[in-house]
Amino acid sequence: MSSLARVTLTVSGVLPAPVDCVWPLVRDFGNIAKWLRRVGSQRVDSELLPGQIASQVGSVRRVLFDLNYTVVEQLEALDDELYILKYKLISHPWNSSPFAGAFLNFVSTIQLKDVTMTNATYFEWHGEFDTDHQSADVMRSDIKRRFEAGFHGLAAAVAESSGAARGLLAPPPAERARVAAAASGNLASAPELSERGGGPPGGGPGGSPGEGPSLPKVLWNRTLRQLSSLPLAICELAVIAVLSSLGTIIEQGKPLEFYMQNYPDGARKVAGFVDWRLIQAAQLDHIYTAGYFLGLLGLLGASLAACTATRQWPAVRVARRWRFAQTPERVYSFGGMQNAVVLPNAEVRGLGRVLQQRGFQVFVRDGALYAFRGLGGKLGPIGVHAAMLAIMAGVAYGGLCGLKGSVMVPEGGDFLLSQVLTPKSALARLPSDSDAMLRVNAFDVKYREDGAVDQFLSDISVLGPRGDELLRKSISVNDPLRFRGVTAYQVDYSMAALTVHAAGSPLQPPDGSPFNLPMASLEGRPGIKGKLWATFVPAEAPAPGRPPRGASVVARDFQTVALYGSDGAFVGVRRPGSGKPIEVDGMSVVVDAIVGSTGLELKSDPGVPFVYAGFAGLMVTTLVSYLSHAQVWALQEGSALHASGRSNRAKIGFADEVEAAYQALPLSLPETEL
Amino acid sequence: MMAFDIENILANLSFLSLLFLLFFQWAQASFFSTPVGGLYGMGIANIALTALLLIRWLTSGHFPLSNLYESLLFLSWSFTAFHLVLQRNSNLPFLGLITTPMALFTNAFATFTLPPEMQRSTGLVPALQSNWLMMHVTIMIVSYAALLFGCLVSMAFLIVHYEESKERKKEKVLPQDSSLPTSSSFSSSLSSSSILDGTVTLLPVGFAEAKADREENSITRAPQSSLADRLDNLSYRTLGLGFPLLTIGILSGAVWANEAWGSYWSWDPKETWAFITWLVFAIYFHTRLTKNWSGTRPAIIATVGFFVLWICYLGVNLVGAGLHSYGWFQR
Repeated sequence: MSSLARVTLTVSGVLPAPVDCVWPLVRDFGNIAKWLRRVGSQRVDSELLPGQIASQVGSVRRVLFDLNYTVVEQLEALDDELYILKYKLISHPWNSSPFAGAFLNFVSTIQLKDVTMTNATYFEWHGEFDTDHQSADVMRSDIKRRFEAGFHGLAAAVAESSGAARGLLAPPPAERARVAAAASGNLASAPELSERGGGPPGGGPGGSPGEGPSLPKVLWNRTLRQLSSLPLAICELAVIAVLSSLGTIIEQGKPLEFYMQNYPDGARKVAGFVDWRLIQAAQLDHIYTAGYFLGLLGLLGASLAACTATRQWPAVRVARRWRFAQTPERVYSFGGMQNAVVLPNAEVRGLGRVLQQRGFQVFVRDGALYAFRGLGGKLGPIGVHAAMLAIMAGVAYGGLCGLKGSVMVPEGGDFLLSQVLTPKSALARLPSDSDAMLRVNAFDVKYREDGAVDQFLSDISVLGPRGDELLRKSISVNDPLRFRGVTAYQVDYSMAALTVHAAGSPLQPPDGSPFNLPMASLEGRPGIKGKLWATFVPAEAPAPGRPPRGASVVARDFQTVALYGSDGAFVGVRRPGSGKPIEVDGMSVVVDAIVGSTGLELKSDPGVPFVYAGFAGLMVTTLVSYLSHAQVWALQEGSALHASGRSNRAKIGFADEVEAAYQALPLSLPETEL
Repeated sequence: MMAFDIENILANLSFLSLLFLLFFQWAQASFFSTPVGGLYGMGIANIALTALLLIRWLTSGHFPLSNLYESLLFLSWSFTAFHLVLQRNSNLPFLGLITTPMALFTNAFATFTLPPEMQRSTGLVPALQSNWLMMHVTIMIVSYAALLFGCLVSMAFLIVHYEESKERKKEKVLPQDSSLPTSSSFSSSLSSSSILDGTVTLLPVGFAEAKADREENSITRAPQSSLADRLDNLSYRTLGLGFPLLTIGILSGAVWANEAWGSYWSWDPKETWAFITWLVFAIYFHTRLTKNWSGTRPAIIATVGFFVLWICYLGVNLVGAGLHSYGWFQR
């Protein structure tokens, strides 16, 4: 015990508010975060541990600094008559293993006294603890600074609450803010009043005006805080995942009859409760465009933005401010105890060199060292959120201001872009210079040797207002045509007509030239699988009362057609263009060609550049986030070097690495004083 | 068909080497409790699969990841490659117990359950004729491999963690709360370190002593990390690698879809499940952000992710719906 020293210290001050106004804040043991401010901490949270009763002696609270480390303290005494509160420290991360910066047996007393003459409160904060005698002075001054910061925090909290309700319990913040807002509204003509002043309470029941943030700001801050809550974000992600999976189980975008047939109500409900009424009511038939689903995505976007604003960005700012640790205690508080070490006979510059060899950026000043590596690991997640927001913005922009349409055009056909493109909302406009005529010069299907489709090719011309060709391109499935913000994709095909010679048919022109018969798709008819087209070559003029005789021509692809007679009997197969005639029902039919139609999808999506920028950002930032952001702090104290470090990922690897770095450090012999 | 024969031999070679490796590793682990190796078995399987895929590339003339058979073999290849890389860079005694069954399972599934006509290499349908195929499918499958492996490690972590906590409960008969160091242990460790003794500056200290001192002073270091911790860390690192890959894979697919289908996102079942997988792992990484959720909770989410991954990879295609159904289980 000889090396331990008992440190005592007291901080006192006068608060310009009656004791009844201060005491409720102080005695609220579980909510010390309402007033406690800390040097070097952005954020303080506190709560009683679960199951603890407020203002009960023996109750235990935890105080969380920067969501980073937790201190647990227990209420030992509470005297409402004499305004005394005593508590002791139960656990502190620095005390988990013995070292010079620890403070053991920490007990503290806060006492208030009523200064009746000036309606003020005397505040005294006393603390004592054991620590190593070498670090006693450092620790005392550090704790003293903390108590002082706490005092200033209390003064600010009192000033905020005293205006609203003097002598009463502090009202909830919203109410406080409302009063403050009303007061500042009254005094809008008195701009010389400072925004944040601990001025004496007085005046009317409105209290001291102009203090604290305004109501919209309070609400805004609170909304931000709640939006950035991690459990909320996780819930949003989970709900989006579950809803998305529903959309893959329940068929999307089918007509109502489909759902009535497959999800009947009554006794035969799917899974006992799913029927078409539920599907209709919950919009499960088009879940990905349902209002609540889009709203949920919007909420996720808001959470992303709020998280970046209230958590990630401040964390980066703090990281920047944390540069040097000026006391050994700071070294351990910044770096944590996991990798903390006191190295005897070591020099800070030596550590700097070792770290530099390991790829760290090293800063040394006055015996203090700060080193970091992999800053991308810290900035990456911010980029991820920003990229997600860019994608969402792009999707929303494209969804509101985009145009879309699809068209089936036979070879030689043409159409105006503005005829096909329909706006997705009232905001959408076709870029004024991009209206043009599209002409399909040819449509071709290439087949492989085994008969499977190799590629669909459409030869397309873009024609200007006077019929002049602006652009010509042969598009295929992976190679669309782009023209001034409008893109035309090859997505579908059909058969428009069959060109035949049919000697003996009433349709055959007398000059022997071929003629066209329209082809109809049989896809989806009962007993028909896949794509199938057919047409009919009449062998006689239509007469009322009985079906005409003739040849039925059926085609599955552009390579062959099958011909059937009037009696339904199979007659034969011909390749279009082969020129070989076939005898059906007294006609001699020559199949010259199948006129194809190309199915084009047209789109104008102004959001794509944003979406692509977001994609690029997301690809890079998720990879960069994989880097681990490692930081090392060290401080020279005499011949000893206090060092510690932390890393946000790869913790075990980092621990091994700093250990190796410590071991690699050259020893410096202490200067002997003999 | 010479090429087809060679392909058969290579597929069987990779399967057999993995099968023997599996038996060998289980024997090592259960009878001799020696660290599990597997460099040679994995190496043979890896080389055989590499050769197989390269031959298919040469004979078919297109990138050999166009149907389920090829993608399963590539997944198997990824597991073997993963094993070889991790085996070199970290000494994990249990690695093979996870990678070998995975590689074997995917290999056997491809070789024995798929009918021969699905194993045959066919031409590419029009939508797949793009250079994006190479990037999108490769990255997706490598990310599946990394994520599946990370999820399995998480599941192993859950088991080990459960066992360790059971043992810890048994040991917990100590009267003292370990979070409160007793003053005696504090002072004893302090007195043993001369730097804090105040006398050190007065005495000449030799190098050897100082070195010993330094090791003494390392007492503040955490104890050697337990198996559970190592598993936890490994799963975090692998999932941390698989997640960016999954992101890149999905996004490259979206860009490709915008080229081929006219829309970067169309809520096709495969897309949707890839998105769901992405969300599950996004949840995983966010639960790891909070200190008090570390440990079992992310591991449970990773376990969920394991099943979501299989739905995404195979389940969607077994149902056979959507734009991604070509070359797979077609009716």
